[in-house]
Amino acid sequence: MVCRCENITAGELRACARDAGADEMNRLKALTRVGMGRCQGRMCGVAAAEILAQATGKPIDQVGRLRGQAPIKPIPIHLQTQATAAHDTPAEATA
Amino acid sequence: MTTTTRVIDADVAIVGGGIMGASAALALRRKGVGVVLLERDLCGSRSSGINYGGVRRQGRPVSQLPLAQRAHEVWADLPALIGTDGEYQRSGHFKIGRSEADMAALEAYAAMSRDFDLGLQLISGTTLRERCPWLGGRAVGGSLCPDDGQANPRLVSPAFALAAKRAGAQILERTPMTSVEHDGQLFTVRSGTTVAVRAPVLINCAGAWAGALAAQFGEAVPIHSGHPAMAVTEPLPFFMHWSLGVEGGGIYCRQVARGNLVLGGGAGVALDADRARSERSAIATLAVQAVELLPALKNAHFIRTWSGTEGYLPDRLPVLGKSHTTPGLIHGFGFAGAGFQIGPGVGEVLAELARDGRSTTPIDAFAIERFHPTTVADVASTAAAH
Repeated sequence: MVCRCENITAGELRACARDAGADEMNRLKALTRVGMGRCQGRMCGVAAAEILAQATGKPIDQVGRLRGQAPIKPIPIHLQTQATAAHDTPAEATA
Repeated sequence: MTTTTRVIDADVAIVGGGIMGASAALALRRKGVGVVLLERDLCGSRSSGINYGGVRRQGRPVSQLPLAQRAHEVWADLPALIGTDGEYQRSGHFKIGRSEADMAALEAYAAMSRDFDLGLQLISGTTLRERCPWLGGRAVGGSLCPDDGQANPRLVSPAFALAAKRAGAQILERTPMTSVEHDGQLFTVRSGTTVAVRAPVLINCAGAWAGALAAQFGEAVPIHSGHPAMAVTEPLPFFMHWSLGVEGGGIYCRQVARGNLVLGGGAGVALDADRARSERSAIATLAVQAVELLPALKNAHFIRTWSGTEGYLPDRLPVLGKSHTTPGLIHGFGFAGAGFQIGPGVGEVLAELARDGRSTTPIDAFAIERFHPTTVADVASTAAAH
């Protein structure tokens, strides 16, 4: 088990590299969900990169890394609503 | 220097491996047409792969509904076509009204789209509360399209490219177009000195970046990039089948089978021409709207935010059809953040245009000429002058 948030095994990652040709971390993530759970890859990212490097025969620095996406850790939605009030942001989106 | 450029001859060259280009490649292969597709990154890695995942006909302009209906039939057959269901579900799309004026607008849309048999149902009052006890108090009703739904774009869009490849298309990833020429008969599309693709037909599916190619052939269009603010929660106990939107816009939300809620609304910010992200104030606004729409989200967490780069024309309609200046050039871009559902239908239309020169689905509203007002007499006199 590599990704404990999303229950993704090493075998699933290797199969994705083999069958779908994933050779880069963000493609591996998109196709398998590795790193898409609560930890956002903080726990599993490095292990997944090593498995992908081994499966593709590439050096680990050439399989990329998971794209950094805010927030750094899960944030409660109600804190965000308070942030809005504190910063006096208009309550209606423009789109 | 002894650089050997790989030269590939094809019936059709496609620039752009999003859902439009990839589904066009697949549709062409199913007609037995030789296709080479150039994608500068990985297929389906931009807006086609990271969008909200709404598969929605409801709310589209009537001019798009024939295309949307055509795509609807393709979606029904997705596993047979691309080898995965891509988590596609006809789970229903519910467009919420928050005032009597909103309800009147939803009713007007239902009347206007009646010929297309979307099966819209207006729901309000006690029926609304019975059917969706999770909905916040500001909603007074809404319009349900039971056969609309949702899918996972990060699976569906790359799968179209993979299916096209299996069907015999040459899919060249990490191969950016660096130049294109037309000698009157053939287009030559180059990626540096690596590849040159020669084909009598060229399809421009370069999304938010398609304007440069159109401009090179004398068809500059006022395209600009938009960046939706998107966020996802951790998995929550499943409570909602419908994909939600709001009349007048503002927020949209769906719950995937895994339990996560995917939300979007408002605008992110561009980092550069290729990248964008959601920033804090947009996410804070989204949070306020999310809790108002679905009070149970109050104690949920956002685990990730993102954005992307989408092409918009001023009238929010795509450019889809043959070039007005260059025989063999076909455009399909600028889907204004609403291309995912119609993508597979667009692919079929592009394949028809490439092979037969005409589409069996009406697309006149999307002609590129709408940005270049000229009379037939002008065109005739220009042609005569040459």
